[in-house]
Amino acid sequence: MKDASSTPPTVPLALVAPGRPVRLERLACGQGLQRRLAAMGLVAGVLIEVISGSPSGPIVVALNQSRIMLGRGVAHGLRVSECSSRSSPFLRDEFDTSNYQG
Amino acid sequence: MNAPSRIALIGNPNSGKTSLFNQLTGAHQHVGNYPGVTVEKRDGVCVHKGHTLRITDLPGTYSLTASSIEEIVARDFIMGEKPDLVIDVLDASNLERNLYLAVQVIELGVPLVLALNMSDVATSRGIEFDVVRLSELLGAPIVPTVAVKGAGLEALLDAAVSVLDNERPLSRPTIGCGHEIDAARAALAAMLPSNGQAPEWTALKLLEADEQVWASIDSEEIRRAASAHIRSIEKRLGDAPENLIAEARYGFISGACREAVRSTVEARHNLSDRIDAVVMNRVVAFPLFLGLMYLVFQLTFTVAGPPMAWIEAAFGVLGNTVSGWWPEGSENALRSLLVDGIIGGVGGVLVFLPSILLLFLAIAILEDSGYMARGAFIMDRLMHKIGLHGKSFIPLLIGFGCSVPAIMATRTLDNDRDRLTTILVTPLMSCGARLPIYALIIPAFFPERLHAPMLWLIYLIGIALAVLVAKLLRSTLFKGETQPFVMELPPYRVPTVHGLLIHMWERGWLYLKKAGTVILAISILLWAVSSYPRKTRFDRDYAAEIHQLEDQGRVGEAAAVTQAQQADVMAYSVAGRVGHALEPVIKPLGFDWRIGTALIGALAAKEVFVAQLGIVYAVGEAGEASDTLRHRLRENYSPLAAFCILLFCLISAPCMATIAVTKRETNSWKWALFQLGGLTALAYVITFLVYQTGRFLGIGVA
Repeated sequence: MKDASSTPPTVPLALVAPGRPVRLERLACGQGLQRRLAAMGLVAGVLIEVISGSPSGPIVVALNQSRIMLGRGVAHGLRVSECSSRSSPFLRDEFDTSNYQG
Repeated sequence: MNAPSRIALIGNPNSGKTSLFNQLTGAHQHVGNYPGVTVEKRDGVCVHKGHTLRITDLPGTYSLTASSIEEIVARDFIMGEKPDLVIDVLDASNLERNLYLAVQVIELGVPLVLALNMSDVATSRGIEFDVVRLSELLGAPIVPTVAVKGAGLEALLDAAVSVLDNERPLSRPTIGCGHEIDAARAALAAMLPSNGQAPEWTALKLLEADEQVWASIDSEEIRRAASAHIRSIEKRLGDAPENLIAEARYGFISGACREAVRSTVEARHNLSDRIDAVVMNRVVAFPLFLGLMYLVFQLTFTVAGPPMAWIEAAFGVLGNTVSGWWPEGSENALRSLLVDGIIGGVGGVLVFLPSILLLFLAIAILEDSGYMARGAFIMDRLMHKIGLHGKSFIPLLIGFGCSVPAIMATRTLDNDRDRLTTILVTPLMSCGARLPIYALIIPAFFPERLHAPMLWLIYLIGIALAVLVAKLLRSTLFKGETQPFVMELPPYRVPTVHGLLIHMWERGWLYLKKAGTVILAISILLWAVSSYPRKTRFDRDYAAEIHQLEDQGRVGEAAAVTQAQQADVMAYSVAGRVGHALEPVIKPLGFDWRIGTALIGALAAKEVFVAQLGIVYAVGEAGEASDTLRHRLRENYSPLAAFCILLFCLISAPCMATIAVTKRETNSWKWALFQLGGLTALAYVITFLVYQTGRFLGIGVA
């Protein structure tokens, strides 16, 4: 069960400045879009970094070695939290399936 | 013993799957379609150590859910055709994301070999793989490959053959999704019949809310049970099972990578990022993009010049040789058919093959280097303003080659409104078949320094109109939200010559096939309607008049009479009559009946316009073809009229093939006919305005 109290404050990805790693916390968008994003590796818990973006156009985020373009609307729906550690951009250390075992 | 084994090649877009397929099958490829849909299906054969392998290249996908046509096609192929083996191509420097698809193939329980492709790039980025350990964890042999260089292919085929022979099978991992989901999955699987698709898999897909699997379940009891499970999981874990399953898959992958993959160097900004910092720079991006497009057209025009001249000369020699089979001065229908109809018609089209190959080569370079996706990114803001998706840009760009594959490429758009709008405006992207028209007209009327700018202008007009029409459609017929923009930006790559040649040749071959079949048939038909009925009785005695004038040395006047006779003959034929009937309608556009006749031909295929003009004038010249077609055109039309011809050919009715593919893709004649009628009306209005304004202002009339 996800513990609401431990959830850090989140901001929309669209407002994040380039060059700092953030953690994807929540995907506030339709199920169809979530499915497409998941297929490209964008699921809750991953570390991403905004590579480039302009105030109105799409943005590019880095997820491991891949670069994914997201439209403004999509980027507004993705909630991220500040993440100071750049310890392991390749792996998501925090993830553990045992979290879900009742 | 040696029955061919069927192998399916699957993998993410940009994983190098197509390169691998090309390397494995070489020239032994067959391109077709999957039944019922227009997703391209490529088959090839490869022989390895006495095994005949029939390889099918499945469409590039990120996942095996039912969220796009490509995914459904790939999944249906694996489940329906039951190939003997699946080879999943992984991009080694992007392993986690690529394994997401692999895990779903593992879930399907089919024999699997993994190709760890582009392993050289990954190694150079400081990523180390423990291939043996990773194989054990995933339960499938893994072979490092570098497809573009052909490295590792032997080992890959060895592994494939060994799996086919069932040597040393590895045990498959089971991917746990957490207690709740695993329990629900087991409960549902127990309710499912065991004779069909593996119940475990179906149960998982039911929990994932997979539309296709849900639709395949007849039992109301199972449906009810599945929705109850989904609701209860949502309530207890606070998220849809689908998302939790996706996270569990990534969790499994993460765990496997932690054990078997080591990243020694933290390569934060790789070369692609550095190139993008310049190429995608806010100030530079858009002008650079336009400049590149300009370069493509400039190249298409100048480099193609000499080979075009050679082809033209060769057809001239061929025509003269065939002409020589008959005694001089004789009027023979067969000779006229061969020389004016077939050689003239097909030759007139083949001349443009160099241009078209170069254009396709340029598009292939843009595609294979990875710049095409940057184009979509740069264009997204603009596309968004006109109510389209950045992804619409790719079909529109392919439209510069040919509208038919472009309209097929709109399948990547999931939203019907985005897709229909894109389909309807695609013919405004000036296709390769229209290039011959420009290549004929522009040099005939405009000085050399204006050739490339004129061509560029025509293409820009097409783009501007597409923007306006799309905007109009999106604010009237297709109101609504645009599809969210999500797309991968592939790393820049140096395209391989082999790959470029295959892509260029595939498309060039389509053009040649069209020239050999459709255009040949139309050329003969158009020759016939331009030659018959033959006028033999004249009101004036032309022969005597010409003879008399020539005797008096008045050559100029004799030529004028000859032309009058030619016009008389032409006007008598079917084409002449139809053209004449059209003349009152097209006269305000600056066109005469000859252009009208050629436009009818252009409806069949745009490039026929050129062939038809050639025929119309060659037939008129009755054997003394001393003037080139361009010279005759310049005598007959003003530069303003020529510009209007360019405009009309750019905008008007798309060719028959385009209309047919629109009908097939939209599954309705309504949209196909709407496209046909709408674009023709638009062409008429715009050309009318330009011609009348030009005439009023006195621009280009002389």
